[in-house]
Order: sequence, then structure tokens, then C-alpha cells
Amino acid sequence: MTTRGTGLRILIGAESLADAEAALRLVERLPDRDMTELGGLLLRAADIGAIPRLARQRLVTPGGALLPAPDTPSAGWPAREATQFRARLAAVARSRRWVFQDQPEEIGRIARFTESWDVVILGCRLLHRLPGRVVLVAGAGGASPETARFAGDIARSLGTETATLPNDAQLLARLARIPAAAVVLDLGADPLPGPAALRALIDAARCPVILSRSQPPG
Amino acid sequence: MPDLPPEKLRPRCDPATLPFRTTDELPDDSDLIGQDRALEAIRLSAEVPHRDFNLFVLGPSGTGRHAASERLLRAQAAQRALPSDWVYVNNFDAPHKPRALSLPPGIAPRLRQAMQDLVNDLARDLPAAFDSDDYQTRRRAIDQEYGEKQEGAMSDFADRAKSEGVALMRTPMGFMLTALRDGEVLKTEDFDKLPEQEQGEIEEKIARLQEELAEVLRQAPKLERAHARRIEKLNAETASRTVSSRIEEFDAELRAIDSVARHIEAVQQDIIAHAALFLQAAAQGADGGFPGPLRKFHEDPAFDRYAVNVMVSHAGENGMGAPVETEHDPTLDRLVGRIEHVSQMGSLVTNFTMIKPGALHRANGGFLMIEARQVLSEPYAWEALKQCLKTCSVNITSLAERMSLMSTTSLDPDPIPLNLRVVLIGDRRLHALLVMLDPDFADLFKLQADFEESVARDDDTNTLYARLIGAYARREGLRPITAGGVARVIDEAARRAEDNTRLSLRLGQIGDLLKEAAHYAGTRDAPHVEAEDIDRASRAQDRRAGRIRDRMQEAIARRTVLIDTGGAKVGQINGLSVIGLGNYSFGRPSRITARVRMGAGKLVDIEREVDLGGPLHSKGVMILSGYLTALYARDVPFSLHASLVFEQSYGGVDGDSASSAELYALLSALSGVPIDQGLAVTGSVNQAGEVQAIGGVNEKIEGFFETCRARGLTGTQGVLIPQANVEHLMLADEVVAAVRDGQFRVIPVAHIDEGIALLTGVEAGQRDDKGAFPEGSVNARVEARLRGFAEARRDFMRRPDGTGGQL
Repeated sequence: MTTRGTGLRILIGAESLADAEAALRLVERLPDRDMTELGGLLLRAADIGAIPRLARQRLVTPGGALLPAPDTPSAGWPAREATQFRARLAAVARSRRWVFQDQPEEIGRIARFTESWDVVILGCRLLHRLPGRVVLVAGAGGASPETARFAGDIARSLGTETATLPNDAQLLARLARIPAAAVVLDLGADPLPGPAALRALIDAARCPVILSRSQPPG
Repeated sequence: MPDLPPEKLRPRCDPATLPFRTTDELPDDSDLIGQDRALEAIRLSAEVPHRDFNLFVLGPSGTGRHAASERLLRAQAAQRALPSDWVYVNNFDAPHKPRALSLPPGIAPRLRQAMQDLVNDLARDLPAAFDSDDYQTRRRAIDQEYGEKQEGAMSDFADRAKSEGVALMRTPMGFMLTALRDGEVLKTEDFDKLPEQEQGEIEEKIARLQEELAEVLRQAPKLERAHARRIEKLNAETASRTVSSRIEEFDAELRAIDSVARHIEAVQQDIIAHAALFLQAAAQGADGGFPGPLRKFHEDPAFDRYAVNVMVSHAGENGMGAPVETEHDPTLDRLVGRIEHVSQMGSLVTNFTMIKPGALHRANGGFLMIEARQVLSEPYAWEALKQCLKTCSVNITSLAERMSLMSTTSLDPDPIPLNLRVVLIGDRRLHALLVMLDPDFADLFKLQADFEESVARDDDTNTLYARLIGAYARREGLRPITAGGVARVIDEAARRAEDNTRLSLRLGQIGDLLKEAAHYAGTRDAPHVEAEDIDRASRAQDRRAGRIRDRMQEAIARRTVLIDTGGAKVGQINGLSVIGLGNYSFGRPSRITARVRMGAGKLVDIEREVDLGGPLHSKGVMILSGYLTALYARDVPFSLHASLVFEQSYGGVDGDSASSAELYALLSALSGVPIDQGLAVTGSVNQAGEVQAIGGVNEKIEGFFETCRARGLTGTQGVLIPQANVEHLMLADEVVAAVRDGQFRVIPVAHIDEGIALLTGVEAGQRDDKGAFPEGSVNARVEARLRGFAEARRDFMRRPDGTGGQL
């Protein structure tokens, strides 16, 4: 993680515009000095084309509506939503530098990006507007001071507080029951989870997951 | 009738009859004199408790109407208790209808300050309360409770689905459920290999769980609402504790007033409901010079809703002293108040703090003095004033609203009950017009105070007048006036009253004279104002205003205007007229000529024929016809054709003051007896030949005197005036001196016969026992001429050659 004096380079990865929007809202509340560059990354969603199609199977919207399951599910981004993501990213970046990658990536390749960006935020749409805390996942040695401070900054910007959870076997079960506004994972203390574990983390958190490096990229 | 002696021409006030040397010795008594009738009306209006006994003070300007009315009203007001204070406060239920609160006198500013203190204190206390550990802990507990409810429900569902072998998959559009086998998502080809029954069971499960998931997700908004209500309740409790605690410290005396107590209760509820306003204000930081504790939060427009708009407040010793207001510019807004607007984002907005009081608010409980002409000339002001008096309330409606010119946010404030006495000040003509044309006027203004223009002159009133003058001099910081000076002023007052038995009560004019005289006294470093200063001021005033008069006299002197002041002529006489220029008037002679011949009894008023004669003048001329027909040759038809004209008259002529002169000219023309051109005549005449009083007698005499003096006084020149006008004489000193020296004459005349004899030197003649006038007399000659006309007319009608006919 870079020092506060120079600001952070933050990359937002999202599988949908709604997920991206949740991450963008976190970023736009950060003080200007905390960010020097903003990036946008399209992520492919979980492939539902391989799951069996059942006659009574439905898509359940976040609002609780039941819709017919899509005939040709696609893990890609509709062009229109990608354009909107890009536009929102540019708006949030304001005068700062920003980059946008319009070729979708698999979440499995996220490690490439965590190495070249200070912070990678994996967007995830919030299912409700109830306030939640910023959960800092601390490894065995605890979170680095930079990451803890970053988590605190986000919490302050959201008007909430931080909660720390140990990165153990009960993490997902605990996360699933905690109302969280964001989950911060310190990549300096813990290794980047694999794609499945990362998805499981996001599914349990049901909020943006922040992957933070405590050391500047090499 | 003998000539008038000099002392009759200007009855002077003798300084020796005045009981002082200078006005310094006089008591400071400035009570009006001679205005008892008017003052009684003012007192009655001030004292009578019933509504609509409003007052119209009428009379000419300069009679002390304003000052006297105000003095009496103030005296009465001082004995009345202070009226209530009135404020407007926010109506939290209907902000467009601000509430009017009545408060004990002097309390309104205290309430305003108390509310400002309340706002300032709460703007500090409330943020502190919401920032406290207690509040934050309770708030977090609620947040967590509801967050965990929702997350717990989702988590429970995920666990339940997993236990039933169903996976929850997140997609960009939402969630999909699919079968799990050995912890992994079952692919299509594996699913197809399952027995049909198992496939059906899985589908059944997924269908059921979909419904459950949908229900869980649908619970989120409900939980959010429940959470919001809990937070609102917590906020209300927190705010309520803080606000209640502060309001308990609110001024107990103010809270003891019912209307204030009710308002404070409403304020309390509103602050609790809008505590966020206070948090936002505090969050804006300490903009401005002072840090937080000294910051005046009440100046923030956001807190206007708790302001107290003081419309009127009264403070006075011992709780006594009703207001006496004078509105010099009684526009609608200044009378009934106005509602101001400010521009915000391009539109005009307002609120109850922008209600401004009018004169009616300020005078409520007391007296309001207004110039009648001004209030009548201001659009809608008179209508609004009447409406307020009729309804006994002040209802603020702007001119734009009345005329439907403005369609923007406006207010409908509570009307404020009205209990006051309106005093209109105007002239008699205006009063008469209002009585005639405005049906409401008599109902609303039941009293009139009619100011006299003059007062009877005697030693007592002379002394009272002197006191009045002395008080005026003291009030205006003028030098004291000597008894001689006062006597001169009294003479001037009689002159201005146009009556040597009365004194003018137009104190404004007299005051102006005194000020100018005091100035002249100052220029000569005199300690007192003397008679010579008054005299100088009077002459200076006359000179300043007399330019037109001088030009006219010059035209006569140069014979541009033909006036004879010597010799004798038939059918020609010097009449006298007065020319008024604003508040200055002067007299001038006019040549009047008459021509006669046989005719059919027609007297032609040439002025009237060319529309230069007014109705009164025409009436005077027609009276002459009546006089002639009644007096002469009554046994034959009236066979005169005569014409009368004001020579070189290029403006209008009105009034009948020249009718006697016109009759003299006619008699001269008919009798052939010439008239002495050294004499001039004024006076009207009736059908019996009696000479009647006219106005402006002094100016008329002085006008002819000036003409004669310019040509050289002969001692035979003079003016015939009506006997009834002798009491009106207050002639200039020059005229009096000329009469005293035998160079000019003023001759009173009671009847035409006296006048014609004076003018012609021939007796008029009275009928003897046989009904005949003495031979050679004017009347005999006139009768003979008229009879001659009748006979000639008869002969004309009888001509055998047929050339005669209808005349």
C-alpha cells in the first residue's frame, strides 16, 4: 500500500453495473487525497449456462420478484451497461487519472490486478439499505496498520465503524450474518483466495469486498 | 352719506391695551382661541368608547388643526392604558396562515429574544445530544438489530437451501437456485442422468425455495421501514429530552401567557420533529467571526420558522400611554402593512417574518391621524382603511393581490383586531364630497371638528391672541415680540380675516409673518420683534407676491388699459374687481360702459354673450333689469335695449360685486348725466336698489388708490363701498394717510340713490305724492328716457307705411 501522501490507485472490478455502483459509492466518499488513480474492470459473472434448466425455475430479483429464467444466460457485460460503468467511473475520478478495461476478465485472473493496484474493490450489490459496518478481515498476525487505517477511513466516510473478524474457518459463516457495508481483506497479511473462495467470500458478505495490499506494488 | 373718517378705515389695536411689554411676560399658553366647537368634537372623539366615532377635522389649512388635534389626542392617550403588543409567529400546521399573538404591552421584544436564545441554545445542545455515547450506542444497537435480522434471514435461507442440496447463484440480474451434488453445482448433463422422480423432487424444491427467497428479499424494505421508525423514535426521544429540558428553563412569565404557552408547545413539537435542522446548522461549522458558543444560529434562515415577528410593541411608564400616530404618506402598504418577498432561485417567496406593520398596527389602541386628501389619492388606501374600520381588524392584502397582478406564494395572516380612532384632516369641500358621494363615510366618521377661520376681536381675544403669538415665538425660538409688535400682528390678523371686528385664525400665515419679522429684527440686532419688523415683513410679503399687480397698474398708468381717474362721462364708470393668485389677491379698476336705445326690454350682458361672464355676474345684471322695470315708467312697456360690458376684460368675470357699478352706468346712460371718473364703485345691488356687501373690499379700494396715486391724487378721488362693508375695512396705511390728508375718499353707500347722487352730483330724486320724480333729478331723466323709448316704440309699431313691425 502506498503512503497517504501520494494517494492510492484503486481498481473497481464488477460483474454488473449494480455491483460496480456499490463499489463506486464507496470510492466517491473517500477524501480526494486518498486516491490518485481509478480503474474500472469488467468481470465475467458466474456461468449459469451449464446449470440445468427447469420449467419452474425462476430468476429472483433483489427486490423479491420472480422472473422467468433467461433463455440464453450470458456471463458477459451488455455494451450499454459497460458504457455506463465507464461514464460513472470517469465522473467519480473527476480530475484524477482513470483507466477502464472494456474486455471482461475472469475473476480467476484478479491476482494480476491486485499486484499492480494498491486496492482492488470487487463490487457487489447491497440487498438492502440498512446500515452496516466495515468488516476488516485480519489474518493470524492481524491487519497491517495501513489496511486498518484504510478500513477506518472508509467506515468514517460511511458514518459507521469497523468490526474485525479473524480469517478462520468460521469467517464465511460469520460474514453471512453480519450487516456489512464493505469487507476489507488485507492481502499483505493473507494470501489472495482462489476464484471459488473469492466468490464464496463475496456471496457471504453480500457487499463490496476490498482487496488491499499493505505494501506498494513492486 | 359722509366720507368715512380715517380711524374707520383701519381700526388699530392700541398697544397700551395689551397687558404686557413683550411676549416674554406672557404665560406659555398655546391653547387655540375661538375653536371651542372643534375642540369639543375632538375631545368627544377621543373619549367616547364606542366604535365608528372617528373624526374628520375640517377647516382651512393654517388654522392649527394638526397641532390642536394632536395635542388633544396625546393628552387623552396619556390617560389610556398601553395597548397590547402584537406579534406574528409561524403556524406550523399551515405556514401560509401565520398566527397573530396578543401580548401584554412591552412583552413582544422579550418573547423574540427568548425564542432566539432557545434556538441558539438548542443548536448547541441538540448536536451534542446526538453525538453523545448514549445516543450512538443505542443507535448502533438498532442498526445492528435490523441489519442482523435481514442478514440472518438471508443466511438462514442460504443454509437451509444448502442443507436441501440447492445452491444460491448470484447473477447480474439477481439470484438463481440450482441443484447441488457433493457440494458442487450439478451440471445439466449430470442432472439429465438422474431419475425422473428425483428430477421432479429437485424442481419442486427449487420452486419452493425460490418462493422463500423472494419472500426473504421482499422483507428487506419492510425491515428498512421498521428500522427507520425505530431510529425516528430514538431521535425524537433524544431531541425531546433535550428540548424539554431547555424549555423548562424558558421564561416562566412568558409561559404563563396562554397564547405563548400554546405557541411554545407547538415549537417544542416542531423542533423535535425537525431536530435535523439543528444538526445541519451545527455541521455547517462556525462560519463567521465567533466560535460555536457565541454563534447566532437564530440568524440562519433555516430557523426563521421559530422567529417572533414583532408587529408592534408599546413601552411606557406606569403602563399608560396609548399611541398617537401620524401617517404622512398613507399608501396602502404603509397603512395596513405589507408582505415582502425575496427572490430565491428565480421565484418570489415569503414567510411570516416578512410581514411588515402599517400605521394601523402602530396606532392600534390609540389614534391615527391622516391627511384626508392623501389617503383618498392613494390607490386602494381609502377602501382598505374603510374595510379595516368596518371589520375592526387589520387584514394585510397587497395592492398586487387586490388587483390580481401577482401569482406567487403569499400569506394569509391572522387578521389583527383593531380598536383605534382615525382622525382625518381635510378641507370642508372634501368633507362635503365624502358625505355626498361615499355612503360609508357618514357611518364610519360620525364626528366632525370644524375649525373656525376667524374669531371675534375684542380686548380679551386680543390678549389671548397675544399669548398664542408669544407661545408660538417661544416654540419656534423667535425673539420676544413687543406689545407694539403684537398689536401690529393683531391688525394684520384682522386684515387677513377681511373683517376689522375679527381676527384670522390661520395661524400658519401669521406664523410665517412672525418668522420673517423676527429675521428682520435679527438683521438689526434688536432684542425684540417690533411693530416696524412686522410692518416690514408684511410689506415684503406684499411686494414679493405683487408682480402681476404692479404690471397691471403699470398698464393702466401707460393707458394700455383705459381707466379715467378724472373728468365725467356718460354711461361709463370705474368698477373694481379682485384678482386672486393662490393665497394672494389684489384689486384693480375696470372700466364698465353701458349703451342704451329703444328696444324690446332686453338688457344685454356682453360678458355673458361671449361666455366670459359667470353665473353670479349674469344674475347681477338680470337684477338690474328687475330694478329698472320696477322703478321706472311702470305704466308703459319696458322698451329698452341696453348693453353692458367690462371694457378690456380678456378673462372671465364672475361675482355680482360690480352690479351696482353697472346700474350706475345704465342710469347715467339713460339719464344722460355724466359720472365722475374720479370715483370707483364696488357693491352688489338687489332689485330694491339696496347696495349689498361684497368681498375683497380692502384690495379693491387699494387697487383704485394705487391707480389714482400713480396719476396724482386730487382729493376728489375715492371709492364708493357698501355700507355693510365698513366693518371689513383694514386698509393699508398709505390709503389711511391719504384720507387723513384729504387726498382720497372712502364713501359708504346704502342705496343706489345715494350712489348716483355722489357719482353725478345730481340728486336721484324721490317720487312725490303724484308719483313723479323731481324735475331734473336722475330718476326723472331716466324715467323720461324710458317712457320716450316706449312711445317711440309704440309710434314705430303704428307706422302706416308698413315699415313698422315686431321689435
